[in-house]
Amino acid sequence: MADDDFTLPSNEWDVLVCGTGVKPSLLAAALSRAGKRVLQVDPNTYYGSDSGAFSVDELETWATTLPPDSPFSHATVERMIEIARPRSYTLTLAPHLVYWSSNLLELLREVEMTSSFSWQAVGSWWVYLTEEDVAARSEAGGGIGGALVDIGVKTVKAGGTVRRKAGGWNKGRKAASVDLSGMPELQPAGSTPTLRKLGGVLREVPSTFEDVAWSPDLQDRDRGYLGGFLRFVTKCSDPTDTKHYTLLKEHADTSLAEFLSTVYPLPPFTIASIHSLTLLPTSPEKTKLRDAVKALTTHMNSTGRIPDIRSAAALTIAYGGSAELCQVWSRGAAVAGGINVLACGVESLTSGDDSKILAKLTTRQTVTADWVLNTTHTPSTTGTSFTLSKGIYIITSSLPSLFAKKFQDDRVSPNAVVLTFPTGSLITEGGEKNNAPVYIIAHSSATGECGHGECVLYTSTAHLQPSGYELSSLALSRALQAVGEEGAQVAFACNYTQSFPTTASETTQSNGPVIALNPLSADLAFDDEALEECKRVYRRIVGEECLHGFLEMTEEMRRQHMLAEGEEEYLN
Amino acid sequence: MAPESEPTIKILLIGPSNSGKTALLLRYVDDIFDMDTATATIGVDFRVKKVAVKGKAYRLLLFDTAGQERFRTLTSSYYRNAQGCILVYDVSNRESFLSMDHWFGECAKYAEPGIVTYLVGSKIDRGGRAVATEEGKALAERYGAGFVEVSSKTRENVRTPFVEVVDRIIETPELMDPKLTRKRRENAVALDHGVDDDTAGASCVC
Repeated sequence: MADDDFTLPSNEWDVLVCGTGVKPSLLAAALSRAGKRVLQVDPNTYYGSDSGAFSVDELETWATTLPPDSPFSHATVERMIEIARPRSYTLTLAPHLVYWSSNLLELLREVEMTSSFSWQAVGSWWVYLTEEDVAARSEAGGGIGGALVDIGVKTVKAGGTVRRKAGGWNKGRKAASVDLSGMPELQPAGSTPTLRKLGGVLREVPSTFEDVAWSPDLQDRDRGYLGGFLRFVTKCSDPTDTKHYTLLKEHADTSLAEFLSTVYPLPPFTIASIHSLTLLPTSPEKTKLRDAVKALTTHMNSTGRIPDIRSAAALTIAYGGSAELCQVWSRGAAVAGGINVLACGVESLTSGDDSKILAKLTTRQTVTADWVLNTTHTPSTTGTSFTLSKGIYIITSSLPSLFAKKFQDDRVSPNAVVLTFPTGSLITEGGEKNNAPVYIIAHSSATGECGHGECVLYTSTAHLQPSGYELSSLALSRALQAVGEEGAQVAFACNYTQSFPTTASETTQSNGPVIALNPLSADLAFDDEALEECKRVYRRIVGEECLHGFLEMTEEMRRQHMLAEGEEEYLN
Repeated sequence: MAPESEPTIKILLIGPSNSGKTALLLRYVDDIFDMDTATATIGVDFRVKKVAVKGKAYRLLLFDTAGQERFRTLTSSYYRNAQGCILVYDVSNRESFLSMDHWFGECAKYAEPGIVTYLVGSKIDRGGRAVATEEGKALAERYGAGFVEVSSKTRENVRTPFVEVVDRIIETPELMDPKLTRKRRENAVALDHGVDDDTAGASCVC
């Protein structure tokens, strides 16, 4: 009866879920709601596993001890200045962006769970490019063809639409067609959307046709090719669009850099800015076109679709991004009758009678379960892994210019932005240039992750530590300089290294009752595949014939909700 | 959830297992007393109650722990944007009273600063009192919380904690519209308005 009576209410469970990360938590909630008796355990003392969120004090403890058997290593932590309320932060290991077109939003809408979260908009993407970067153009840029496209874009800017074939100045490759007929109607002059610039070096990335048409950095021939490329991205997945579909097929394994310097010949600085929209860790030279197109398609399918903020393409979940998902879903499992136990790991799993699994818990209890969901932290022995250098920085300024509204008619301001430092744009004191882009995801205090008048910057780069950390800090100080806030300081910094499997294996579908879930992908945006994997596992456990939809409320919950809401109607 | 025609007040119940949180909630909201309240926790984690204070209507959202307190695994997300927190112990169980420091600590750690707290000693209908009224009062004073002893079984004082918490919240303008919460709410992106809904869910075509 005492509150520290930690005896489990039962030793027999339908499903034992190990871990409280995104996938285990989602499955715990979905399976509980489907009527399964779910026991969810986590050896850590906090929710979220690899996607946890912490106060400053907790993050310091986490970084100095690092959970065993985790993908984390080389953590460093430093308080530069005194932090007044170290417990009031929610610093996350998983500040994922959620694209408007993602299947996560689709799912949460279906199961009426969107209001369990506070959604903040991710505003513009900014890319760090100096005047010299923009001035550096490839030699190919001259010639007759360029001049022809020039005329074409000028026509567009005058308000008309044009269909024009590019000339032969991209010699050697098949001529790419520049087709601007799909351009949305351009805004009349006067309310022309301009791409903003901060400190002369952080440039807003053009991601719509309007942006392309009006970018001050682009020459008119670039506009034609960039417009053509954006059109290619929107069309190339459609098999009936033979031209673009074939073009993608032929070049799927070509690097984005090569494709964009030959088929749609664009200057390097534009390639860097297009690449930043992919959020991919690899440099444009090492990014395959198929991967870039997939990421860009997601981006473009989302751009301009958010009613509250047309200038945005993605959202972020307040209070820690995916860490908050873990908490809400774990609680969802409890609400539906499941049990969450922290500081409790699984010591051993053995086969018992009746094909049940016997699980010995670190709390010295033994439970049985029909199914066990495990998370593999360590990349599979056969698969290869790669690592990212990550950083979490608290800044003593709210950096208002970063979070300013782009369009007057946007109802809300963005509370997150993405800054990209392209490959080669940074150099360490030892003379080492970054061999991969450095991304900064900046969160304002409206995300609830820091105090008023502060913001949190999350960095990520494939450049390995120790120089990866140095480059991240360098990117950070360049960003602060560019944003030009007097007295903006780094109050706290934490750097760590996280390893990921290179390719998500399909082998979650192990045959036995012990199912190993893949770790979350390294993507900076919430990975659509995470939900697909959970749905596959769910179907396997509840059976194909089960009519109960994934994560849908049970009849009893629905009835209770009606009662709760009905009370209100009655009083009305 | 329902459209917000009147101001919503979010109040949490916390405290150890079996301290009588759900019984108090159900007695207050539905005027029922069920010996087997554990089952009542399953399925829904909140209750809605409309109240009128000085002629003005408010919508109370009362959140229950969903049993997560049992292993002290309440998610910090539970505390988000709550304006009031009712901490419940069982007067016939000394240990439940001794754990109150832990629960006040949790509340201070995860809730917004300035949250209204209220300490409730429950089950006064039971024999074998293990915590004196004065002890409860002293603890509440130490944390600047309100205090009352109740019996959900006999209905004694069950309305008091809710009424007083609501009063104190309404008297505190920052709580009714905390600056930060307001900013957060105004800046939050609405996901559910109609216009784009049919198309918005369309997934990536590749």
